[in-house]
Amino acid sequence: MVLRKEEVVGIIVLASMILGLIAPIVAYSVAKPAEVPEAMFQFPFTGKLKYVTSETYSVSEEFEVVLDVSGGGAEILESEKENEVKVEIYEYPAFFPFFRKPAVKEYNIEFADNVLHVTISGYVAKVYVPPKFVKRISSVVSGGLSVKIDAGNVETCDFKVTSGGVELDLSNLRNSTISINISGGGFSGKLSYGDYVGEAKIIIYISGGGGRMDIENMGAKVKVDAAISGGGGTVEVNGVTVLSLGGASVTKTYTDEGFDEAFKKLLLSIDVSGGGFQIGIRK
Amino acid sequence: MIDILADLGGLIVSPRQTFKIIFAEKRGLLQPALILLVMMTVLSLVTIANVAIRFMGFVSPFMGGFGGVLSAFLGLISVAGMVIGGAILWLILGLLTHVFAKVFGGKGDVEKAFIVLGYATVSFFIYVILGFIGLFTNFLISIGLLTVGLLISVILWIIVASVGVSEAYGISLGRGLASVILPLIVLSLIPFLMTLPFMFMTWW
Repeated sequence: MVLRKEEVVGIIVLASMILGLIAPIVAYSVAKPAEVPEAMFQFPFTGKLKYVTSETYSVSEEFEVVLDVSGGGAEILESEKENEVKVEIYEYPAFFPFFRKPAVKEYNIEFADNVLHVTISGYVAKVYVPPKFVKRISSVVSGGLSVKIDAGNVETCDFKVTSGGVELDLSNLRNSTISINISGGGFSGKLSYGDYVGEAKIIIYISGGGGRMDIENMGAKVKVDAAISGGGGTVEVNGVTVLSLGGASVTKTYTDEGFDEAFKKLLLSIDVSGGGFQIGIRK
Repeated sequence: MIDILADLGGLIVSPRQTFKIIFAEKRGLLQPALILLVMMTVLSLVTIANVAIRFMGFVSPFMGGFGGVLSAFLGLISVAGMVIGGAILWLILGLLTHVFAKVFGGKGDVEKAFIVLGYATVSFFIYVILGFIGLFTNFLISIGLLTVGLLISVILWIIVASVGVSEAYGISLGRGLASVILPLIVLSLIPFLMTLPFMFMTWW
C-alpha cells in the first residue's frame, strides 16, 4: 500500500497529537530537577566582554582575596603562573541598553598587606590567583560571582550575596569553613574535599532564595543541622534522602554514626528563611 | 481512518482542495471543534511539560509533601485554562473573521468561519513536535524551540485559514488573508488601547 502525501502528513499530525498527550510523562522522566536554577544563576558574564584594564602582582606568601561587587560580576580562577595575581576588568553588554538609566560604574584594585581588594560596580572582574597562596576569600556581592579554583590551601571562604547568584567549583578542600549567606538570590555549588584531619564546615544561610550544592568528601563522617522557616529542602547522602524539610518552622539534624570519634568530619549547617535548597553529599 | 489522516494532512499539503471537500460534504462544527480542542490540549500539555514541570521539579522539594500534589493541580489548571482560552479565542476570532470576510464581499454564514479556523489549528502540530524535542534539551534551548515552533505554526495557521476563508466565502486569497489577519491586529490592539489612558496619566 502506497500512502499519498496527504496521508503521510496526516500520520505526522496524528503522531504529534500522541506525543503531546504523553509529553508531561516524558518531561517528568527526563527533566533534571536543578537545571532551572543552574540556568538562572550560573555566572552570566561569559561572552562578549569588552576589555578595560588589568593589574598584575607578584606574590610569594599567603594572601586574602576580598571582593566587593555591586551591579556586575566577578570570577575567581586559577592563574597560569604560580606566583602571579592578575585582575582583569571588563565591561559587559547591557541586554536592553535603551531601557536602562546610566549606571554608576567604577572599579578599584588594591593589593596591600597581603590582601587583594577588588571593588567593582557595573563591571566584570576576572581575578586569576595562584591557588597555593590563597588563604581566605571573602566577598560581598550584588550581582554574579563565580569561583573555580583548587582550594587546598583555603582556610575560610565567606560569600555574602544580596540580589544575585554564586557559582562555586572548589576542589581539594580541606578542614576549611565555607560560609554562604544569600539574601535574595541563588547559589550553585560543587565542593570536592581532599584528605584532612579535623572538621570541615559549610554554613549556609538563605533568606529569600535558594540553590543546590553537590559535595564530595570521601571517608568523612557527616553531621547536618537544618532549620527551615518558610520554605523547604532536601539533603541526600550517597543518593539517599536523609533530611527532607518543608513548612512553616522545622529543625532537623542528621548525624552519621561515629561522627564524634571520627578524624575526618564534615559539619553542614543550613538555615533557610523563605527559600529552598538541595544538597547532595557523596562520601 | 485513512480519510481522517488524509483530511489532517490535506489541510497542510493542499488546503484549498481539502476545504472544497469539507464544504462540499457540508460538514458541521463537531469535527473542527474536536480538532481545535485536541490541538489546544496537546499544545498546552507540551508547553506545561517544557516550562512548568521542569520548574516544579525544582520547586517541589521545597514544598515538603505538597510539591507533587501542587504540581499536578497547577498543571491541570493551566491546561484547562489554555484550552478554555483557546476556545474563547476561536469564538472571538471566528466572529471577527466573518465580519471582515463579509466586509470584503464574501458570501457565507458565520459557521464557515468557525469551521475554517477550527480545522486550521492542525497547523500547530509543528509547535507540538518541536516542543516534544525540546523536552530532551536544556531549559533555554527548549524555550527557543517553543518560540520557533510557535512562529512557524502561527504563520502556517494564517496561510491555511486564509485559503479556507477564501474558499468558504468565495473571495480572493488576498481578501481571505486580510480577513484572517485583521482580527488578530484588532485583538492585539485591545490591550494597548486599554493601557492608553494610563499612559496619558503617567505623562501628565
